[in-house]
Amino acid sequence: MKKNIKQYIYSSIILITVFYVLYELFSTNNYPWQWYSVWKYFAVYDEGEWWAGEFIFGMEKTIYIVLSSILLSFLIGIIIAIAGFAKGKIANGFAKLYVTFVRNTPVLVQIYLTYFILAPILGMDRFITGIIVLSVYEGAFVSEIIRGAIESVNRGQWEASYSLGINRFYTARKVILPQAMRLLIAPMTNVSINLLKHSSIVSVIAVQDLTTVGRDLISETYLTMEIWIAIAFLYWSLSSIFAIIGRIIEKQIKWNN
Amino acid sequence: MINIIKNILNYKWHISDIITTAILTMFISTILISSIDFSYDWNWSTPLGYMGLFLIGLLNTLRLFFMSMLIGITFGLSLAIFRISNNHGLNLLGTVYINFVRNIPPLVFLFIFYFFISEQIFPKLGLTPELFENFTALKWLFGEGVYGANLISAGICLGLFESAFFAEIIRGAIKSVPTGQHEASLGLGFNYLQTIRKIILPQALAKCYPSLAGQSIIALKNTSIASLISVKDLVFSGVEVVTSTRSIFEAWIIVAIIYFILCFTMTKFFNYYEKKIENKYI
Repeated sequence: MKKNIKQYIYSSIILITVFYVLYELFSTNNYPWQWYSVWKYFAVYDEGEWWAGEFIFGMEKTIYIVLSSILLSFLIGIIIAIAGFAKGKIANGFAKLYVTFVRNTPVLVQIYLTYFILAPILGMDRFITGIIVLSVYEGAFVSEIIRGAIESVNRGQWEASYSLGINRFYTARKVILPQAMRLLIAPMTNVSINLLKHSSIVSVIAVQDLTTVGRDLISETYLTMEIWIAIAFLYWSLSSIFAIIGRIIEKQIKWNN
Repeated sequence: MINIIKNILNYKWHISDIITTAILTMFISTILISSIDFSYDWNWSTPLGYMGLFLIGLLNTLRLFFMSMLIGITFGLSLAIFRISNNHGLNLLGTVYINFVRNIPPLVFLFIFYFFISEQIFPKLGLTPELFENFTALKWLFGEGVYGANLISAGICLGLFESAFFAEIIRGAIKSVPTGQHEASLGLGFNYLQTIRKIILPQALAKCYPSLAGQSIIALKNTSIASLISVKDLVFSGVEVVTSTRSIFEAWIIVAIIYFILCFTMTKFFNYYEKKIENKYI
């Protein structure tokens, strides 16, 4: 009991000093805070109806980019993982080359490379370029995750199913994948949160996502801090939602097994 | 030599090889066919003449990287110790900070804290561009003039951002050290800080080395974002070369190759060093 009281005193002292320092930093500067003018970018009440603000449109675009990149990157990841596991040496080499190249260059450079070199040749618009770059980037990580999950399934499972007379493809589909799938859910949640975070970099090629909306609004209104903090909050809540969905799916799958 | 050629000629094509080569040739041929209409005259000599600019960019990228690593590891270590401590206040502080930083994009974090640090805190501390002009040591460390202040605030921001990730890695490693070690050292009369510093951390850091290495490569890749707040790093020098010479393709290919070489050598170095550490400690 005595220790508890001591601890509460210590922790309250620490928290009060931290809040005081933050308050000093935020209040004594010459920055005019105008939180009241940020709310209209979330939603507007006009003529008896609610209208979505700019942030909501940006968020819609971001969610669209992220969801389509999750699907595409999962597809790419499966293909690259299969190529990595196949018996052909050229396929293996290609998978290895792809993963090393993509993992060793920044997303920003990849976006510039694709947007300035491949996109004008193939005639892609910036939205599709953004989705493709994000899914190619994250696909390398997904392929590594899938490889790890398949390798972590016991080798005895392969051998047992071969000895039962099941062929390689059928073994992979019916015996190994259901076991590996369970290990995939947590890393895939991580990948989708990473995709959400990397999707903000797409703003450099002027895709109208949440970050671009924020940049445009700031150049119009000069409410730098307010708008960035609001956008950080929106990103934070989106990725928390992703994490919660991932946890629910994980629980469901554990319950089924 | 002859054996290698013989091996290549005698190579039996597996079905996966055929599919891969088919897809690759289709992809490359579509690019080639569509690039017939798209005329671009390659000119490697002009951007290679700007090699000095790329090297300055590389230097600034490395400066940013080392700054962010230094700040990230020291701050991350203290955050990790906050999170494992019994004090509720410190614990809450660490948890809130890590949860916030890990869930927002690095770009947004950089924009928030860059404006905050460079416009509010630096003027208070008296860090002005003139200071950078007058002190050669500062010039050598952080670059010249206005860009020096930019580079410092970008480095601090990146360091604060990476620290949350380092903190989680270090915390996981500390948790994986058996509690018996903790109790034994407390039983031998070490106090709390001594226990952490002399008993727990040496074991934990050897364990979390691979993930720290991976995170530091991610930190190196994240420094490219600093170009968006006009720090003269490698990507920024790429933009400069593109705007002044119009050789878009070559400049971006050079930037990508430099980043690739940097990260690839780092990966190989870490792999080599990891084996050494494994032999020594584990």
